[in-house]
Amino acid sequence: MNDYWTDWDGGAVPDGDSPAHDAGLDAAPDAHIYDYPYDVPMSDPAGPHLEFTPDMPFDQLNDQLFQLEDQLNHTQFVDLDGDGARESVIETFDVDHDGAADAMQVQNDNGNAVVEHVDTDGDGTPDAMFVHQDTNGDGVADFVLRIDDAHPVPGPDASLAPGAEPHAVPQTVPDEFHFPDHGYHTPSPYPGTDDIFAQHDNFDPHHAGPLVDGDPADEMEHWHQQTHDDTCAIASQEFVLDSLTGMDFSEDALRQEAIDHGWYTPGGGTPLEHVGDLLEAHGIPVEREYECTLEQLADKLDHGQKVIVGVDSAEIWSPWNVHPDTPLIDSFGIPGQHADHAVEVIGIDRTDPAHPMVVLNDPGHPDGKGMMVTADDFMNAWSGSDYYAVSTHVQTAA
Amino acid sequence: MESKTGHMMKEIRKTPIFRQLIPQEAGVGWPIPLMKDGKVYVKLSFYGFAQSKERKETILYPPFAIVTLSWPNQVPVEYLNLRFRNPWPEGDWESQAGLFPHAAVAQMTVGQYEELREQLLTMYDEMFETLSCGEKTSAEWDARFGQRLRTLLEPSLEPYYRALGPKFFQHFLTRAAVAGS
Repeated sequence: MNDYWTDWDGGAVPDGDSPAHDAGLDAAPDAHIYDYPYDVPMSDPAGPHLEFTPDMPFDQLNDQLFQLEDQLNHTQFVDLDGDGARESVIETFDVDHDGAADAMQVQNDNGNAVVEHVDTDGDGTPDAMFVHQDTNGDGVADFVLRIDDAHPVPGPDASLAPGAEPHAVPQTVPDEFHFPDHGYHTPSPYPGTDDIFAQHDNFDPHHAGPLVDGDPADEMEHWHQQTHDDTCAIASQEFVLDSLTGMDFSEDALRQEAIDHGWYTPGGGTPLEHVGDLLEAHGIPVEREYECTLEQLADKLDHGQKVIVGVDSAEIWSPWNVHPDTPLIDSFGIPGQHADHAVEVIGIDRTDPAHPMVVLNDPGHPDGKGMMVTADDFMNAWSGSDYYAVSTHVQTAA
Repeated sequence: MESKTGHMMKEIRKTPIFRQLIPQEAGVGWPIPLMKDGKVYVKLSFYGFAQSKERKETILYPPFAIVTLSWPNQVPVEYLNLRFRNPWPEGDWESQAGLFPHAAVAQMTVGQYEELREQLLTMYDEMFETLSCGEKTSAEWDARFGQRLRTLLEPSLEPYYRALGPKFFQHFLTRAAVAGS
């Protein structure tokens, strides 16, 4: 069995198989690669192709665990930074186009590879692993460790004195194994798991100015992914409550409050006109209106008002997935059902006047913090609710 | 051209009764005809569905409400909270029921599904109009309708549909089974 600890946050080399074997660079190993790369049947769609399990920590920063709920998934969202939100991706690739996965890549929350597991000799079996490490803590990988038969993983090295230079030598990932650049990505062999969400840009908190309506950077601090499937309206109201009161409200407590008042049905959601009831219950008056315009939203944001709208989630999460030729198993939702979803609008970015972007705190999307969608896509999604908006009367400094 | 039934299922979302009582995330279930005093009504059920956070599967929950509308003018005449009324005590009306898409439609494209859905909803139009004239549909028509309904109806929700419209679903799903055998 291969059982490796490695260090991704500045220690430069794997430190050992327990904190006791840490080389002293950061006190604890923070990634655990278990029984890998040699014993994993990655290409078998009938069985698990990734053997990570909850007792195998794979945590970059603070020793929390991540879990793979469905080990058959082709693409997996995982939580590499231990903040409770899954922001990173494990993705498999079919490099030799034989219909079976023969390579794997783990990406961090910046979309950069942190582990690549590849077939270097062309026999269809992964035989080498490249571990990208950030040795200087600037968030960018600057050290690549190759692990294969010719480059065995450095084992526990308790002999190193604290601060001593590691033995490992930096390696370079061959160009042919930078998968995304070479179009190796193939449709998932596992139905319904490919290209889970559209890729969106997220608002840069450092980008502010007169061409940005609202204060997206400030509002982004209050985002988290909703913890229940149907609590988008509750989470959106929680963002607003946290922002306006400075308190940290709990989604679960607000959900229970909404259940008690009949504003929310578990397994159903929140009626459109009950969005805002939680705000009112906590002393924040709101205004509800249909047929609102983008210009009106901008004006509200410029006056420090908080705004929640009803949208068709499929239109903003994956606009092309509503195309008639999209396989049903690869599309969002149920065709013909124009269900709505609540999101907070936190800004409108007119830096490119010809292509304004609407900035959302979308609790339903794993990357919904300051998620930017084109104004056209937003208007299409918003039309599903007849341009319904709930806005606060409370004004903060714009 | 959009069917009258399909239009009704879309427009119900704009009614005050929906916006005040039905969660915006709800799906509109397959219509169930109701005859009362010689007039035709349509029962629309509403069920929860949600996107799973990491995957594309859509999670289905049992129906939680019904709005009954008059077929000729599509005016709501009744609202029923199923969790209050609990028409099928043995059923679990609150837990997750299943996933969409189900096997019978999983290999379709979005366009194919929408086309088949619209065909079924157009047949619903024919059924409601036939009933309004005091007539009955033919056995052959019933078989075709039943086959489409069997394909599109979500198996995980079937027990709930049968509880809400026992005669209707017994008649047409049985026809589909006979036609398919």
